[in-house]
Amino acid sequence: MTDSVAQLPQNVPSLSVARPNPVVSNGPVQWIRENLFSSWLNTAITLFIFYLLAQALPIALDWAILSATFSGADRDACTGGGACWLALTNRFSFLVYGFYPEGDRWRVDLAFVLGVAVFPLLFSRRIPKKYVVVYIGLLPLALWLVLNGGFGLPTVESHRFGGFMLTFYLAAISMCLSLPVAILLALGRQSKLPIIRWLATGYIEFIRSVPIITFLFMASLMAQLFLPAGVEVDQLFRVIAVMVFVSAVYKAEIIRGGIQGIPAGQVEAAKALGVGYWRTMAYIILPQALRNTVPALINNFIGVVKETSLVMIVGLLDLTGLAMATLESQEWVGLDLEVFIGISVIFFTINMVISRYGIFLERNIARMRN
Amino acid sequence: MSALYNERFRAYFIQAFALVAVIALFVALGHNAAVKLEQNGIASGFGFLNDTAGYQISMALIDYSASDTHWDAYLVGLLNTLLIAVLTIISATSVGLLVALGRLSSNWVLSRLCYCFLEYFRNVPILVHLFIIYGIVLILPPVRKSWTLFDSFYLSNRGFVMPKPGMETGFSFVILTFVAGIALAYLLARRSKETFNREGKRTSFLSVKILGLVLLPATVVFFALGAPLSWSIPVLKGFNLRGGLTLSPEFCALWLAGTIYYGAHISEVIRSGILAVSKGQREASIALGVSPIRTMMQVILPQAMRIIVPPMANYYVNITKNSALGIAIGYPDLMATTGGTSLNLTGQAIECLVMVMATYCFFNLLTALLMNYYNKKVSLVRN
Repeated sequence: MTDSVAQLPQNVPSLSVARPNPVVSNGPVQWIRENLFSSWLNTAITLFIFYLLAQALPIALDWAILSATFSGADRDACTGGGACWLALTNRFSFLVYGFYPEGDRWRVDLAFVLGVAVFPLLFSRRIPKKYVVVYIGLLPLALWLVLNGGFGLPTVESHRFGGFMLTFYLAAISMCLSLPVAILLALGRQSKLPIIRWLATGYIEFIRSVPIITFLFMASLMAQLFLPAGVEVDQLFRVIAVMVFVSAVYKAEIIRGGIQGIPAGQVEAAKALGVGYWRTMAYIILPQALRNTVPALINNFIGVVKETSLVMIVGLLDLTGLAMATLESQEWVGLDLEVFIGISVIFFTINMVISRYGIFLERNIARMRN
Repeated sequence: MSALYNERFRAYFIQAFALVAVIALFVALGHNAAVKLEQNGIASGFGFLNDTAGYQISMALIDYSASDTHWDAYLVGLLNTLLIAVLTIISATSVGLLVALGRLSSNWVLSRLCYCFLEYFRNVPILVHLFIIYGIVLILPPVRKSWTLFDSFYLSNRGFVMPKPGMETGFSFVILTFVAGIALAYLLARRSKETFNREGKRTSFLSVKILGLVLLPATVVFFALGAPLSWSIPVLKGFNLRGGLTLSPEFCALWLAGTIYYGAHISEVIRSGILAVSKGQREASIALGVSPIRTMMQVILPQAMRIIVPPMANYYVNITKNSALGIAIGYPDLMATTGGTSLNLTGQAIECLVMVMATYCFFNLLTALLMNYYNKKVSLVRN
């Protein structure tokens, strides 16, 4: 070895000669050059986008804010030539609380707080997870008691539910109630018992391939046909039932993925130790599978929130339905664009916050694992 | 008693119980329905399909009038559903691919812009998109003052009107030449690919094949037969446009809403698929001197397809289902004809909804079969 080193040719330039450092600059000019004008194509794209924005933004800004009307007694106040936001601003509390009695609106606020509290609970590490599960399990009951009445609170009929409050109520209740159904379906689809597996698979595939609107129509128009004589179920319940049993299918597929992600050795170890099927699932598999699927379930929740808008087609007055009803009134007719852009901003904000939270939680879970 | 602790016995017992419970549920529901139907004097069965429908449908791809049967109405609805589904699938996939590439672009403005659009379009319910677009269509100028391009394309609050091609005798020969050209080009491409795999020599080129085998013969035949194609160009007459092909506002709104909403979702699927292809593949390809575009088309995308296709198939099924949303603005799809007007007129609620559901199930199964076939074809062969 030493020989070969000694035989190195002498004319190789020495590595120890210092060469100048490569020019690295990371000022704003360099950033702009790299990210906006790195090639002629990039330059063209950048300039084209700037041109489009310069054309569109002033018009949009002028319409939506500068020449828009935000306050006024009635529609005659809209004289600016821009957007007329009065249909939203003047009816804001109506869009949030629907037809809920004025004096009882604190109950809706309380329900909002109860629902939103799930998110910090999911994140908290100090609170044992079983309490979180119990909380989610009891949430539909709590929302029902607070909003519908009972235990001393005066009853509010469900046909007075409307607006954002109804959207929230539908999303929260169907999310919580569909989880246990979804878990059973996921277990059924993985079951070793063929009939159980076929039933679960058939149910999942059937529901997945038919539009939810079809089921909503069935629930609102045909439920009487299938129920025994004399039995009547409130329309809100029928719609919630449809949302629960339909969205459970999508959650079941997510949870199935989570269960399949758990190494098979865990089930085998539990079986070797003599732990029964239900205990294995409840104490070993599901806690891990559910924790891993929380981000995906939060994404699914965004889907549920968006799906609630479909109930307007069968005549429930959720946020979208109430917006539609607003446009049908003489005073606000023709303001479709303003009203629905306003509604879209509300949905966007809510879903964006939830999805950011999901990403945050996902990173947190990944960090915990490492 | 010990039988309860026997695992095999318990398995049989649980399955039998589940089966009996499900059957009992269906029997109970069926019994209730039968009793109610008898009370209301509605005869069940699909005989009503031969009765006269008696209602107009605003958009029909086949000849249809109110004197046709409910079965014809079903076909009209089915075709409308398929039309909007196929068009939305094509446009949403294109938009999704463009937005995904834009998001991955090194151009900061482009990628941010794509991101903003994407987040807005996928976080708002498609129904709200639908109403916003419908709202925009409604504030467009009336027909008389419609925006026009070359005096043949018109955009107004009545929809979009464009020239309509009319095939005359002999045009089928052009189509035949065209299809034969594609088939020939496909066979040649397969053979040249085999040669390429065996010998590493390129024997034919795609651009040559498209020009020489598909476009050129079709054009020659087209003109040899005296251009057997007539255009019906819309003309403004009085308060209305005559002639041309009209895309109704409902159709445009549904198509556009589906395109942006599912385009946004699909772009995320494509982007995550592209990002899942290991970075080394791209670097190796660039290091070998392959151009960035060919790297994307021939190295990255084929590998990304394996990850992209299963969720994409899911979105395609969803797009097909979502034509049912047209009922909110009055697009006459399957759900609006058979599941809506026919149902209300005949009272045959169960039969109508069974038909609607069975149709949707059929297309879902078809997609699933195609996907399984594709998955088998592209999945990695592990030796």
